[in-house]
Amino acid sequence: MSAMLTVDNIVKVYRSHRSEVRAVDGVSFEVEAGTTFGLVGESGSGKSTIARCALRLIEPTSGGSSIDGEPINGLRNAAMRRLRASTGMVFQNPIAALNPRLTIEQSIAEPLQTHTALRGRALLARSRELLDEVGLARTHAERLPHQLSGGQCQRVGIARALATRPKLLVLDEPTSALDVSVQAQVLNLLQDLRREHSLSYLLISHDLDVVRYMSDMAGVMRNGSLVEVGPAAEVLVTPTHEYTRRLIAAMPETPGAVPLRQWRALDDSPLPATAAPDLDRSPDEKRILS
Amino acid sequence: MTTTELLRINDLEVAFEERGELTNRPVRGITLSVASREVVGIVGETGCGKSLTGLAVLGLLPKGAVPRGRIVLDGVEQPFDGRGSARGDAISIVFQNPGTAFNPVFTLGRQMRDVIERHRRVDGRPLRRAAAKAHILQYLEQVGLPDPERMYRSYPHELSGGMLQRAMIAMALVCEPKLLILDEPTTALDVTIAKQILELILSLRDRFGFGVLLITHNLGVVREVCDRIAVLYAGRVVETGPTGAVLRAPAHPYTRGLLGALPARHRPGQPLDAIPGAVPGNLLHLTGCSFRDRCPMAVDACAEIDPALEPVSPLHAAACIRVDSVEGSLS
Repeated sequence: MSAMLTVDNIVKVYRSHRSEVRAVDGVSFEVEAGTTFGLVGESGSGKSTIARCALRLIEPTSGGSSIDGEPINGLRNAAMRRLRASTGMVFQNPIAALNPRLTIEQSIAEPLQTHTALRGRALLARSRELLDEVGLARTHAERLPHQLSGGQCQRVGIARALATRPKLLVLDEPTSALDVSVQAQVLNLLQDLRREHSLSYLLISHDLDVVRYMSDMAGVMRNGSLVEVGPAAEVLVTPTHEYTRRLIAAMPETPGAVPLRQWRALDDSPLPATAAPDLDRSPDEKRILS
Repeated sequence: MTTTELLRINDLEVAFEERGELTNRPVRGITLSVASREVVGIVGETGCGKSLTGLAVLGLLPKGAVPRGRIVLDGVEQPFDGRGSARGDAISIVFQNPGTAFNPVFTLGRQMRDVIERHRRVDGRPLRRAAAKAHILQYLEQVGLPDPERMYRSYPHELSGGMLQRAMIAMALVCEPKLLILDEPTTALDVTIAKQILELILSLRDRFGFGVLLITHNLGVVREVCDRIAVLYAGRVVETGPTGAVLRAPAHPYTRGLLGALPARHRPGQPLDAIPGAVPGNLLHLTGCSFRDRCPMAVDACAEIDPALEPVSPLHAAACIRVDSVEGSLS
């Protein structure tokens, strides 16, 4: 197997005149072709920053990534645009991710107009095909995003990401804004599409259950670093890192979760010295409390 | 546990009216009760009527709402328009997003003092500032915030989501409510922080003895903290009972569907049992069972009969004419 996406020692530092935040601090991993790599972590752990750096939606401070063996960080505009067509991204808030003034069909046609030579009838045919593929009816084509449910909008987001027949999709919290019954529909759709088109996924989620269910490999992020990487069935079932164990214990439905009344003692025990101790503190609080 | 009934919602209906015409009826007859010290969960997906139910109890229904039914708190009927409601006194609420629930331009202390000044009188006068502050500091400490003095002087943006939610809970408790409504209290928080907040709510309940109405879409949260639950679908209670009984042996196909859709209950690669279709958009002219279009067990009769809640065991009831055909318990 070969790597569809290689993330090589990416560092992303955000600076302001007063302070700097190392959002991602030297993260490396590979997404094998045809597999799903799931990245879990709490808010602020750097998982979305990694996703954006990996596709070069933002420039990493150092390090970089390769897509299907081709390093992307030195690429100039034209070459980068060509490579972008082989990737797609699905965002968390499906309604906000769509232009409210474009019909569903126009939204789906947009990436095709940017990246392909399809026009007129061929363009229409391909947009229709994409609608079918994500399980939307022809009657949805003329509607506007606000006339659709969240689940339907996310299907549109997936259709847009698939438009240029990419090999790699980055899914950034694709179902966190959806109800469980709709989440199940969307996850099933993503699984089917991956098999049909031999796609590779980089899945970002704070939901351990979703990541374990969807992923072949999984990585756990904390404070900008990967604390644990390996097969999802091992990392998220029999973790070796204390932080992963703690995340699992906090999930209500997950096997391995700890009932609420017994959980307190576990959470109060300090994390090993290698990990920063203040889980619950934002930088502002650290300032206030210090 | 005592069994004094604290809150009773009787056949609550909320319709919406525009220019004299009914446009929708998102709540179609909800009956439920909460005893003191009890935690009752209202579970359901977007659009099932759970938040409107909470707002009705608070007398905070939006403009254009036409409510019917009765809401009784501790023997006192609660007005739907909020005038003379127990809101802020015997009932308080914690909202989903602590980051937007506070006013960003005032300190936490000032905002909590407003609550006390509005609702607490000593000899007909508001509490003195120093007394109010001392009272608030106690509650900031009760919810596990470090350095209450400092928290009192802090602005909302200076705290993380988890700490703000603790402050929100402290603010909800300063007037010693009998009923605490929690509307998705942990949805905006990370899992470990969410668990801390749930733990806090239970321990405060033990200490102060209030009843809790917990509104959530998260079955995991319900499993962890609720004594009883009511599963809502399309503005009705479709199943209710002790949490353990309902989640172990769900009797309504919708409850089964919700549990079956959870990734935690599936092996990787095995398709999730998604509930097909979507919640009906307008509930004004529903006939028969509202779930039948999505139900794997629907029969012709489901289009005719609008099922009422029927007991499946002494404390456990479901609104489905095919209850008897639902096979044994889920794993």
